[in-house]
Amino acid sequence: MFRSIGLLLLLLWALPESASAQQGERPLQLFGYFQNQFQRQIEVEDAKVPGIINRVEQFDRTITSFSVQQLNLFLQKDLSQRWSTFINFEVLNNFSSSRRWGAYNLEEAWIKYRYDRRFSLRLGLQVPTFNNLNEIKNRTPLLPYIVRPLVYETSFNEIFSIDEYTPERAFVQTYGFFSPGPLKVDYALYVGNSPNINNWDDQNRKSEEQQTGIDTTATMLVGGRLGLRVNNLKGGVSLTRDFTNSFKGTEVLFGGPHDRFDELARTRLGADFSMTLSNFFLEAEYIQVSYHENDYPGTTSFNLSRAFYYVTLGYEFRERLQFYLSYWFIKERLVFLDNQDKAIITIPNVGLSYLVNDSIRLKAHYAYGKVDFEEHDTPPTTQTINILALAVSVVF
Amino acid sequence: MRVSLQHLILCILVGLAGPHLVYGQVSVIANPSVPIDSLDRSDLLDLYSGDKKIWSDGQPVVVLDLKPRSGLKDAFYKYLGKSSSRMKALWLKKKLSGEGDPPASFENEALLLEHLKETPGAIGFVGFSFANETVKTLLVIPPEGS
Repeated sequence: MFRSIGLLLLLLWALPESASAQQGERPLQLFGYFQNQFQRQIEVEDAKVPGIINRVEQFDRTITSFSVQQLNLFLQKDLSQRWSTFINFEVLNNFSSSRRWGAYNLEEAWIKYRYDRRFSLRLGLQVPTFNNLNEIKNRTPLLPYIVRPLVYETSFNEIFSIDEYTPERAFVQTYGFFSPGPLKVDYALYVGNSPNINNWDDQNRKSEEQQTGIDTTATMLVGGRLGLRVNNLKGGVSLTRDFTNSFKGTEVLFGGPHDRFDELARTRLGADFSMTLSNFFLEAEYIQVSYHENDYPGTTSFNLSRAFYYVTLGYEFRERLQFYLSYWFIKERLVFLDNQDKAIITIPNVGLSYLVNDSIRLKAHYAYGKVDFEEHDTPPTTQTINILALAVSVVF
Repeated sequence: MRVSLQHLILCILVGLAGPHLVYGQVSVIANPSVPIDSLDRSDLLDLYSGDKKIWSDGQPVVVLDLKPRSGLKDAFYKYLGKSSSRMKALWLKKKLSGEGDPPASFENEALLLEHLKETPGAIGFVGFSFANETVKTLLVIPPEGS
């Protein structure tokens, strides 16, 4: 670790900056965006009653709500031609500290050195590059969606663990692109904390360690993306590896040593593709999450897999109106002994987006979701969700 | 004055075409301090997409744009292979990611030209007749179809 720090310090010391490059300091910029929305959601759950053939009980509820879905405030300052800083504060879901609504987060705080198009280095809290959408998933003015594709939609965290699929934070990232002929080859490499962050335990009103927000292990997240761009085509593959303690305590089910699920290796593999052709646009992504452990003869193997993909096809009319069709899919499967737990989520959806001017975007979105759960020893359930959402996204 | 039917029809068609009339030549111009004398489409796209931010002599690249939609602007971005809205989306993504600012935009070619002459490292585009000896002409984009 000390060798790595030493190499980083040497690299920073060696970074050249000419006298003219030290000019270019610009005033502090303050800007941001917010998205307000109205959402009507109908949830219906069908649960088979055990012991009674063809007997299904149905539970349903309807919710309508207005909300300030998201507000982001940015501070940016160019310190020189090559150095710049960026801070991103985010508030979510009608944030109110007195009522304990929503959340307030420090999303990014980094300093960047840019040598040229081939090499930039960011140091500090940042969103790592993974597939196409990860970096911009919370940039609502850039997206035609109101409800974002599954693993990029924070409000779905109650249904499944979205941060299992995408890396949320990194602290050192280098990136850039090379141009062999008409091609542009993009790269990004980053490191960050493992997912084993010390949390505040609200129930017991304490934390495991003295500080919250710190990594409780000596492992790290490492990852990157390699991509190609040519004309209006873009594609890439992404990979991350880290070690998670989220399965600690389940040794009783699977057998094996008491530390069997300490720092279980987790790999995320992603692929992305996007293109524009005349007024049409197409975007697609795939993510697979795998967990790896040593073999333990005589014990139950741990076999958990997660997969996600989405495809969006859209059309832009007169550079203001966008119409799109999209399909989202998730499958999570855990196999142990003779049992299998499985969840499949499918969400076809459709939407419209209208650019009033450079700052204001109106959106409408309809999604029909179906969630099928199968858990061992319990009847399977099917839940359907109808979501109609209207939103206005404003950049200031 | 008698107006012929053909003349009247021509005027109506020109009026309907409005700002989307096929434009003549577009000149890509730069401040005389810019250390190049010509560029190609790929270089121009790199400059306007923010991929190239510094000239070879260390000067920052200052990209200029026109604000209102016009035949000139459409012709320029069509040459780059991107629509005006896609370029705006690209700049907005860079802005909201802390990777750069959109180009400064001007109400008309005269204002753009004036700003370009006063700004070292600046590059912009105007109609062919606007370019003069006080600026460097790096590229002339031919009319569509020629």
